[in-house]
Amino acid sequence: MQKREIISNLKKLQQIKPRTEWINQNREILLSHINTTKKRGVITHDKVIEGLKLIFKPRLMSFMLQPIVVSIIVLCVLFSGFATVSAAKNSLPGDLFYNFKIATEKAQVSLALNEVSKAQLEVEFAGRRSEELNFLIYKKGNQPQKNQDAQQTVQYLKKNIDAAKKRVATLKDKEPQKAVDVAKKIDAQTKELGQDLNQTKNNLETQQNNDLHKTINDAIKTVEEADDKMVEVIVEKHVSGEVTQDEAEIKGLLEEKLNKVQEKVVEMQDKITIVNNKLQNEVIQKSEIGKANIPTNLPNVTKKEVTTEQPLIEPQANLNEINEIASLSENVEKMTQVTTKGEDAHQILQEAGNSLENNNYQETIDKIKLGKNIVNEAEQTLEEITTLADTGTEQETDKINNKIELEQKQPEQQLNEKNKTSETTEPEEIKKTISEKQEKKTEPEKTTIKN
Amino acid sequence: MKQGNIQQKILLLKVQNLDEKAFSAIYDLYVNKIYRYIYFKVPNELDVEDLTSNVFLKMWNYVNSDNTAKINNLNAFLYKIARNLVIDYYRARNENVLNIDTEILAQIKDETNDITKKVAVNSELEQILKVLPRLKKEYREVIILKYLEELNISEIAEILHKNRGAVRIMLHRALNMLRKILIDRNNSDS
Repeated sequence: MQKREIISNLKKLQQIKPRTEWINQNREILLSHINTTKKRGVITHDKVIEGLKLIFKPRLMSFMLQPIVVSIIVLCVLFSGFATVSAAKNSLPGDLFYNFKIATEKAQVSLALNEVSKAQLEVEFAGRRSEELNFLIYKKGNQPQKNQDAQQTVQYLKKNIDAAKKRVATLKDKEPQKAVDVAKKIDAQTKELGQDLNQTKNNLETQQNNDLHKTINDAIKTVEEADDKMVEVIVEKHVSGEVTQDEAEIKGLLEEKLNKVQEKVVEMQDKITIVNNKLQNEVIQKSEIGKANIPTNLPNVTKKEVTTEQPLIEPQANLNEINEIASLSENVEKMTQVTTKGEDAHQILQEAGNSLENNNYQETIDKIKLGKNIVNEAEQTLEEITTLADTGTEQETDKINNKIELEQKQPEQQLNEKNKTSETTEPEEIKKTISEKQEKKTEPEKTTIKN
Repeated sequence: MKQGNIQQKILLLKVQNLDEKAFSAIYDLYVNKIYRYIYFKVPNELDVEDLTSNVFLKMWNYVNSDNTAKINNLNAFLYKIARNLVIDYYRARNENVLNIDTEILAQIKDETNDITKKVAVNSELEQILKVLPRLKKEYREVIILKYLEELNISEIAEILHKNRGAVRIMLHRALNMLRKILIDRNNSDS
């Protein structure tokens, strides 16, 4: 190989670059650090003397220059520097020194001796973010600003957690024993962190702040994912035989995980019941008013279809009502999907339990992961439905119920006449459904709406 | 090149007057280079990122402090900081500085694998990467600083605390040695 070729090949290595994301994040951190350190200089002995010379007369200066006096003055000036650092330590998101606090933590991580210490520091700092979030909800200030600060705090928390996960992932292949040790410590820390965040979420219940609620949920999800990852690493290294561990400990970890996800499934099923009831009430409302026919197995009706193709409603109904009905039918269908997913998750978790009993740990954790994913998807869909179902207020429900009672007191003839007029457009089966529901309206059944 | 030097001097002047925009500009200009320089010395990517970040922090602390020693060449100054930080990094891990070569040698296999994710490595480059650790530390350093980082002889001399003549000779010898090892390797393979 000629020298020229060697040089040109070496130049190819100039393609090596850091991640763009890291470049940008790091720039922000450095700029926030320099912002807060800009006017501080190093306090030197000479500087103090120069300053004193400007203030005091020469005769007095000879006294002032005595070492003890100067040292005391230097200490006082230095103390103000320490005061700045401690002020930063207690600062909250939105405070003056908060960015400096973050930058200091970052510097601490970089100065840590090894990957294990760095990973643990990252989780410790994530814990601080959780405490800050808790303080934030009680902090006085305008709501939008608080929400913004909370989002920033959660972003930092996510970065801390992600960094800890990456460090464990790095250690996993190079030093499996250390990876398992630090994974266990982080597992314990993240569990505690998750509990703290849930407590913060509960403390938030009294405040009407959906955005903050969402932000904290986001943080909880990140921490839970990190915790799952730690358990995966522990199990993986045990199953591969790289790190020998106590069987009881592994089983305990997996059982705890399984129980947690099963609890989630139960919670979700309770939510499904509540939302089902709400949807059913809505269905009754719409049918009682007599403005629409909504069979419970309405197939894929979209807003567009309702307005242009299938005359499912009386011509007098306005566009808003058409759209409401279409939304309702969408919700009904989504509810079916959620229910099915709930059942699937339940099934998979049962299988996970069986795998655990058979000491098949890898299969157990895989099934727990799958079950959790299904539950998360179902919860998301349920969240969408809940938002829409909540639009009907209790007052509206009462109004309509009163109307139904009044109609029932009318002479049967009038009721028949009314039914006759609606007969021209309502199929027989729907009329039957309405009258059946009228009878049952005082005791809504907890049934699932299914296709 | 002259224009680059002027830009460097202006930025240096501004950052010594604690201009944040100048700091940001310096960061953007040098972050890739400093990262790359440290990348070949430290095995773990997260540590590379941390050390790179510290280079800029140290630079700022230097200009922000009362240090009267002037910075004549920003290029050389930043690489010097980077070089010192790497030495401190290994010292902090209680590793003998003399063992750095073996450290890198041991990890070059992993590094080569990592490098393939960042660069399209052909067979010739792969050979060079495998042979580089066999060079003397100083030879490897001058090759990286000259051909990868494209510093001039004066700058390299300042970084390595040597005179320009010595750097020229070292560079000549380093390249010859690298070429010799590659030829011997090819001959033994065939």
